[in-house]
Amino acid sequence: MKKILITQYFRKVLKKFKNHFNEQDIVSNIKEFMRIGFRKGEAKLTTELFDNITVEIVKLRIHVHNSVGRYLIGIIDKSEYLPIFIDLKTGHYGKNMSFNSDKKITSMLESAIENTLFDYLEHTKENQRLVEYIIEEQ
Amino acid sequence: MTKLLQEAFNMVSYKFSQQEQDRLAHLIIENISKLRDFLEDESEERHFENIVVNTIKSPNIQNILGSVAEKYKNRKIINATAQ
Repeated sequence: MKKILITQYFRKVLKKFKNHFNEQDIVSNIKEFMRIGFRKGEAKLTTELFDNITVEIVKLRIHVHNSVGRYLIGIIDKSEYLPIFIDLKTGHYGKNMSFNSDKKITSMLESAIENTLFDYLEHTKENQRLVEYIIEEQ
Repeated sequence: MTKLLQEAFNMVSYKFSQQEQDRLAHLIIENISKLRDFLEDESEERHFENIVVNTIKSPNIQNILGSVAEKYKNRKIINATAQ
């Protein structure tokens, strides 16, 4: 069984992009990736191994109407798909980001990764910090 | 022409048929104005990817990822025991 996990932090980030993408767009896009694999401009960036559990970091693209974005997901043990960071390729954010200094991009990424992973770590039945979408294997 | 570009064209000349080489040449000539944008875009993507990988490899993020993997593993064990 595979799951897509949308954290509270990622939901908050998505609100900034509400004129372009919503949660359902992201879920559909990840489902498509699960079904067909990588498309043009998408790639696995790194695979980290922790005591037999792999965490892959993958860069995906999303195209909804006239909006194009790229986003990062973490894939835990090939079964849990966790969106981490999204960047609008054609909007102000994407354009500004290209001109941002490496230090600023690193700090934005670090903060997005930390906040997403803290939501994952702190999530319990009593303190829900993420929403699970169960994906049935086809 | 740079040494690297020469090497790339040499590679194309022995890996592709003459017809394919002509097709590539047409493609470059017809899209020369778009090529710079394409190169800049590609270079920005590679740059972004490198920053992502370096950030993921930083000790702070590695620590947190280790905790994530541990939580996942513990939950998997509990679920397997419950079934």
